[in-house]
Amino acid sequence: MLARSTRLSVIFTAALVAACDSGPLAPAASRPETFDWAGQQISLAPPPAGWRREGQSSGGIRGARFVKERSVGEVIGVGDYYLLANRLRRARLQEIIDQFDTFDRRDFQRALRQAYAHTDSPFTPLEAAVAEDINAALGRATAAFRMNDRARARTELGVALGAAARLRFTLGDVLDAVVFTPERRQEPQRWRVVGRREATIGGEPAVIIDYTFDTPERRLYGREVYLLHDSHLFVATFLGLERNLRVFDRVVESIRFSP
Amino acid sequence: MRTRGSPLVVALFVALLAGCDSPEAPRAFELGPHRGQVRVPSGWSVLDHGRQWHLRKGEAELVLQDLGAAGPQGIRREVERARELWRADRVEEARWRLRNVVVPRELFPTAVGREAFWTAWSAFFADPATVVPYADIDLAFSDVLARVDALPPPDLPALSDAGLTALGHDQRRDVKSRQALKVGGRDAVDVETWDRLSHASPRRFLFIAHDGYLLALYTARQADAEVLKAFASLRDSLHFAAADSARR
Repeated sequence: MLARSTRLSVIFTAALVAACDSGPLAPAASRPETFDWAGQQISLAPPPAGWRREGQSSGGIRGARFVKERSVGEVIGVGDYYLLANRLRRARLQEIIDQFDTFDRRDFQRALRQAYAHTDSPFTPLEAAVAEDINAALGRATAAFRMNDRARARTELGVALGAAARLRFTLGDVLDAVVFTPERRQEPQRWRVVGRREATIGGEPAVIIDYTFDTPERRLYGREVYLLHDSHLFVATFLGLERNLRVFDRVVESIRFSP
Repeated sequence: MRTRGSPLVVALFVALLAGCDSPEAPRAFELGPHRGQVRVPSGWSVLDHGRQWHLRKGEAELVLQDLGAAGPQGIRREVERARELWRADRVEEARWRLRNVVVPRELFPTAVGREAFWTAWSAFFADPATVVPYADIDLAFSDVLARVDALPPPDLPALSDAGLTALGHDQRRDVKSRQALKVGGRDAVDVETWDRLSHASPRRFLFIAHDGYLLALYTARQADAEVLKAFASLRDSLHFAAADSARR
């Protein structure tokens, strides 16, 4: 009888404990979230609890950083290489066309200032040709708007949009601009590339670089992933302890793009 | 043994009851045209700043704020009130009222319509040093009111966008979610925002539209669990006096 009563007490206590909102014992996998850092959506499952979030906008990359709390400065980063994304003019031109009726002369000038294509240091010969076509059409649109010929101005915006739609980048076109090399770091002798391989991530071709970084205290392990989707170059980076590479790999494996 | 256990049970009940949120008495508010009652959660203090209440508990802060006229209906009411003031020879007050009306450019579907609206509107301020008699300005009021009536009424998401802009939301933050609901019998939108890059620093906004005016309840800073609990409690306890905006 006593034993039965004790068992009941244990069960009751266990039920009470279970009812408390004490949270899981181990960090659960995060839910996928959709980010848009430079005009292209990307979905991924961030690292679990214990990795503090920050925004990052440096080195030409705009995105999120996840810093491991109470660790040795371990960081996972994922971002869109905006120096490349800024060269894509399709979305901006489409937006201007959609808002065209609301523009007065000053609005139109202001909007076009953000639509001219970059002509410096093109990544490819195609980009240079497309930029020339876009800018010529926008010049004609400006002149037409100044003459109150709104119809012509709208037509020229359409020409610029058509040119912008021709621009496509491949991973090979842009990889050299960002790929990890020790020479791009301070004290290159501390950094060493230990592997390079190709992969498919989120349905897109990708390149993965592994490296090590020797600090006075310990060796850190680095991994960088480069993948291109719809002419946006996404860069995922890890630097930290070897055992946490798996956390990074799970984040990368979760990457998806909307069809 | 039984008699010794009873005080323990009583003490346990007392402790449990103390842990529960005791219901606070409803508190009346009047923020611009919005009048009603709300239950302020236990432990939160209220600072009345006129058109806004700051509710604080330590570092946590919520704000309940009148955002003024929103959309053509509210703009019409403001213009009509300015007209009444002008008619009563209170020209400076009328102009002050008109100067404080926010007419977002997004309300105008075309640049031509927008320019025509502001040309008509400029009649109120053509000669600011002169007290223009009402008879000379009556036509301008009729013209502006006709143009206000021609503006398309904004939907709730558009109103919440206007509210977010008024409260400093910009491209550094994204809308995470938007949910339409009824609060105190009125149409409302509950909006969650977060940092665009990291999805950190969540904030919460509630916009309640009534009679052309917008009332907002929002987290002044990052929304942690305690702030969100108070936010929900305030939202669910909001009740409005009937036809409150008629009393401005």
